[in-house]
Amino acid sequence: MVVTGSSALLSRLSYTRNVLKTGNKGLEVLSGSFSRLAVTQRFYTSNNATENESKPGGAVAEPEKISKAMKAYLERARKHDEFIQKETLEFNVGKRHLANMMGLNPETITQEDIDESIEYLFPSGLFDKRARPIMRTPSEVFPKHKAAEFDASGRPLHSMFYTTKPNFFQVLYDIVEATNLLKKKKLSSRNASMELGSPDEFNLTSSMWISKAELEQMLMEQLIDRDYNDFVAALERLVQYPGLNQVQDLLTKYSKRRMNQKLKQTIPPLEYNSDDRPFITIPNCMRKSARAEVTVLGKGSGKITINGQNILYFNDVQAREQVIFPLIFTGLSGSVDVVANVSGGGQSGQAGAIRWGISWALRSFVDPETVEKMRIAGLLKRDHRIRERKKPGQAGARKKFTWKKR
Amino acid sequence: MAALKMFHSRQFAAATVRSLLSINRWSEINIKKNDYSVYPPYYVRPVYKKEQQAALKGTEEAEHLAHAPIKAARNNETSSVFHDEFLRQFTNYIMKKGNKILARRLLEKSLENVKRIQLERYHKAEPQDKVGMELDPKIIMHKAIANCKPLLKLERIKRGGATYQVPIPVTDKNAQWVASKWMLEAARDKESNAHLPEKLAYELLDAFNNQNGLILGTCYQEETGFTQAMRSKSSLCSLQMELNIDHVNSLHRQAIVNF
Repeated sequence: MVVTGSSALLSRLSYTRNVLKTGNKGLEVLSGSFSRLAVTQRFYTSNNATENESKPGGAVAEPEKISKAMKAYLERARKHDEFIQKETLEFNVGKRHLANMMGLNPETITQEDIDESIEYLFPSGLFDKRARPIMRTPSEVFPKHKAAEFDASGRPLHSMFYTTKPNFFQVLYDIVEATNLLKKKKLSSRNASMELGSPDEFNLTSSMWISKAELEQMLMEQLIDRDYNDFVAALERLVQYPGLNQVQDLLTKYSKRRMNQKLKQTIPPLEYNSDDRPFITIPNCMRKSARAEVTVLGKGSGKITINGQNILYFNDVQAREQVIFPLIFTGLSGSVDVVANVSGGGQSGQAGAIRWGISWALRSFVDPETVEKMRIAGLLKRDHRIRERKKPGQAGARKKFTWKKR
Repeated sequence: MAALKMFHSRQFAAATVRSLLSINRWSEINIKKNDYSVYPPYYVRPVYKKEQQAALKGTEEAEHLAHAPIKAARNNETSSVFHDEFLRQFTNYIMKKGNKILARRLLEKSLENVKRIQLERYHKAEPQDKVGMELDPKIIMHKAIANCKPLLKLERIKRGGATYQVPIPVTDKNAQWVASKWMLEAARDKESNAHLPEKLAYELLDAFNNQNGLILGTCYQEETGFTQAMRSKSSLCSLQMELNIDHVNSLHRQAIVNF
């Protein structure tokens, strides 16, 4: 069908950064001429600059004064506009076809319906969801671009234009300005021997700095790791000073709330068996090569059954300790029974699998505070560490052969 | 219908993965430190003891833990009252070729021997000596290692083409490791026919009572280290400042002051 319609073009387009900005100075200058976000990307290697005729719209009053750069830019912008219009038209037509194919109402078909239909019509075995076929509005698929960063005569609008990353360096500049402000206040208050004990409204522990990708998206500029490190270092320097609520706008802009880990979990309710005993069964408890199925029963007496035997199933004391770790941590070692079937792996792995199963099941038996304590004790995290393979050309996973000259 | 596409741009994928991974504000900086770990760098070590968790309550650290994803507790860590962090560490020091079961058995046997010997001494002792006699092998072990901890270590420092052996103060962690190593070396001494549990038990008790060769060796090492310090160009003042640490064992300090 139309799956690969212009995928070659897309791959070229999407090879550049997906940049997006709403309020740009370039737009303010030429806002009458076109109503969209425009482009200054290098891959538009347009020979349009030499063309005499460009159609920028009515707002540019004196065409002879327009610089070549601006002309070229306007040409690219026009082409991009036309392209997007064409794609939008095709998308709408395609949407109607799809609705007819799937027996849906073409007028009321939603994006969810489209996604479902595409999944049905083009079933994909690809694991990564981002690699599967999609059908979205062109505005979501094609990258947006920066508006012109220079005026009609070709003069850059931003004083840091020639750094090639004006927005980024502006951010650094702002942060340093704020730091200097706080520094000055700190010094002056020390001279005046004032009390600085006021609690900062900005909570640093429950927030974190935005990631490099997010910063790039915010600034519409591609950054290297060193840039991002500079950004973080500048912010860390800023937050050392007291009086952070004075620069709260800046901090909230470049940080995001960290989600409380406690809120992430959904704990299943207890089930009841024929004896009216509460229980939870956890299948697929894994650690190394061991696989276990663990059932924790309430109203018990602390009886542990592993493959039909008691805890002496394990010869290793450490393995026994691991099995009872969650029980003694929650203080339920005398009031619940544990039944576990385990196979594969060694003693340590089997004990680890059972430990995780018991911990996971005990969440339903204890209050949320204890669940959080168990999480901090590292009981609720599945241990994904496995033996690292030996590598060819060396003695072990990491160990190298003795070096001999020849 | 050309807008039906597949996102196969490498950059898009990379950007998304980056945004998924960068959760901690330090992560992007320290990412190289943790290169081979299965855990992303923003995962933190668990606090697996209930008392430690209670001690953290209300602190900034607790706030941090509430927001951070936690690594799984290791399989030699437990909140049991019998679990001791130093003994866990010492088991690993004893261990050879990954045989932890044997290492643990040897350590347990050593502590049992300490208990037996000390009980024997207790029953043989005069009634007035019995008071305050330490019988807990765990406490004896801790005290013994504390008694063996060195204060200084010799570091080779190159100045002007010549290498000087300069004594520098050791960190507490490093001192613990060195003391444990000496203790094990003494216990593994091939001269005697005794096995490790018996030998280690005697060494521990001697060190606990401040009366064995290991302690004297430690003192001697520090004396010679101090001589070296005076001979070399290192600044004596800074060393003397370091020697005023509170937890310094009195014997060690005396040895150095006597010198």
